[in-house]
This record gives sequence, C-alpha cells and structure tokens, in this order.
Amino acid sequence: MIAPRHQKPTKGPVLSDAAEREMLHQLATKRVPTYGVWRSVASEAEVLSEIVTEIGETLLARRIRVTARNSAAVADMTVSNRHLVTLEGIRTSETLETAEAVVQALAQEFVSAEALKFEIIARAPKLTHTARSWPHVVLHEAFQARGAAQDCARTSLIREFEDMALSWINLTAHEENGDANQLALLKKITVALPSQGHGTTPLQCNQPRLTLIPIDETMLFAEMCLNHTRVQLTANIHDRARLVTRWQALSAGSQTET
Amino acid sequence: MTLEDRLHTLRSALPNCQVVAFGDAQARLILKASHASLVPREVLDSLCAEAAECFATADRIGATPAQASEAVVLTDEESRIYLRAQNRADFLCIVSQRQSNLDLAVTQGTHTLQRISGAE
Repeated sequence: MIAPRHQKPTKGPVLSDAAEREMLHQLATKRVPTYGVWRSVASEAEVLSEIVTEIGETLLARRIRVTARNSAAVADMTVSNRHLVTLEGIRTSETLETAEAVVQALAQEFVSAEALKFEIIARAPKLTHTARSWPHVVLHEAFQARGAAQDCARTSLIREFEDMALSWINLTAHEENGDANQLALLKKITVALPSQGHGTTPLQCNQPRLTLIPIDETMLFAEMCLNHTRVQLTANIHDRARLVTRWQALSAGSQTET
Repeated sequence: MTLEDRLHTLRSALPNCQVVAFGDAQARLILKASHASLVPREVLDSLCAEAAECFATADRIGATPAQASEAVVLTDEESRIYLRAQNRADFLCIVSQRQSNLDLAVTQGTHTLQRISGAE
C-alpha cells in the first residue's frame, strides 16, 4: 500500500522559548553521566539547575537519591519519562502540590550545599498510581520564574541601599552619587580593586555578599555584591542595623518565598 | 585558660555559632579554631584571606583605630565577623548562621580578643 503523500506532521509537546533554548543548550552540551560522584554547585540556581536537568534527562523509571556533601540534606526522587513522580526525604512542612512548591522545597533542602551527588537507588521502582506528577518543562519554568523574582527583589534592594547611603558608587553601572569628599574616599578603594597592590585577593563579586566596616563613630563603609552588581557606599553608622535587617530579610526571602 | 578553651567558651556562648577562629592576618594563618563539625583547612584559609582583605580595606579608607577593629561580612547563608586587636595583626573570626545576633557576637568577641591579646 502506498502511504498518503500529505500526512499531517506529528505534533510534539508545546514548549516555551526558554524551555526550547534550555533543551537546545543541553543537546549542544556533552554531558557525561555522573552518578555517584560529587558535582560542585556554587549557588541556589546551580543546585536547582542540576536537579531539574536530571529530571529532564531521565526517561526510564528510576529512583534517584540526591545528597549534599556538607549537610544532611537528602531527597529521594522517583522520576519517569521526564516527570517527577514522587519527592521524598526532604524536610518541609509544605504540601507539595505545585511545581513552585517543589522547587521551593528543593531550594530550602539544599540551601547550603556545596556539592551534590546523584545515585540511582532503584532501576524499576514501583510507580504510585496518582494523577499528580510534575513534568520537567513545568519544573523548569518554575525554576526560571523563581530566579526572575529573586533578581527583581535584589535589584530593588540595591536601589534601597543607594537611597539610604550618604554617597555611593555603582561599579557595575558606572554611576555615582553623593558628597565629593566621600566619593573620593570610595574611589580610593575602587582604584585599589583590580590589583589591590597589597598582596590580597580582589573582593570577589560572584556570590551575594554585604561587607560593613565602620570608618569612624559617625559613618560606615559598605560594599554590596548582588546580582553580579558591586556597589560601594558610605552610610550613617546609625543605619547599620537597618542595612543588616534589610539584607537578612532578602536572604530569608530567597529561601522561603517563591 | 588556654587559647583553645577561650575560643570554645566563646563559641558555646553564642547561639548558632559555627566557628570561632584566632589567626594572624599578616601571616595569613589561622592559629587555632573551635568548630562543631569538621571545617576543611581551605575554609579556614579563605576566612584568613577575607579577614586580610577587610582589614586592608579598613586601612585604605582610613578607619580610625578604635573602629578599624571590626568588619562584618553577610552572605545568603551566614555572617562572618572579623575583629582585630589594635595595632596588631591578631584577629578573631566568628562564623554564625545568617540570622544571628551580630551585636552580641561583636561584644563577646571583642572581650575574648582582649583577653587573648592581654594574656599573650
């Protein structure tokens, strides 16, 4: 029999641009199966990316244990056909219903992880008959949305700190504002940054960090590294507690909110 | 009371305190540390490097001696306090969980550092 010539093309799952980009990126990246070895992670985004990618690359039913090297964090995932079917072992009081809740729970469990290990603990696990599972694409979107929300909150905090400051220099945006003498003081540090010239390592800005150093009894120096943006500022010493509280609130928010 | 005892006493007195270390910022060396769980040598070395970095910044902005003794570094996960004895390279480092009481740690840490410096 001759096959019909004008057959409709088979439709695949509808993917967002971001998900398609991510899949193309994964295809272009040669990945070596790394079960049973530690994979370094330097941020929450890297932790979530590793876990979500693992789910996206698992077609056959597997039970996978994720552990963190430097903490007691553990998660047992049953994954099949790029869907997370069950998530057990994590310490959360939340009911895991939405993909956002799952991503949040994973972020909380592995908050201080410096390295993750993935191990297959069952090759043909019994799959529970439940209507609920979380597809890789949906988890990926929840992970991306979480990152975007955090970026927004962090950008707001940078603006808030600049408003609180007596003077500030945004070294990333090349902007400055404030009293000329204080800006000159800040530039003393800025000039020294590339080489430092004192045998010290230049201040790194790849991790969120707030440094506070009192200058005298009325003023303090602060340097904030957030969203790969470095801001140096002088502030009233009485605003120290406010700066600390706002920073701690953001850190807490990044670990408890979505 | 030995240096080790003083560090341990300070760590026990501070809620959520993970590490208390005493070092020399000039030599870039942690001389003694008290910690609940095992802390790799590289972590202690990085604390030493950060202390030297903070004190170099304090010197560069001309922080007055009484105030130059303190630097606080906050991250997403923890707070690190560096206290330097006046006109000395000796420093004390206190690493605590993110939401810890910084003022309490600074006060108690300064007290311990004074005792250590005075005792030597």
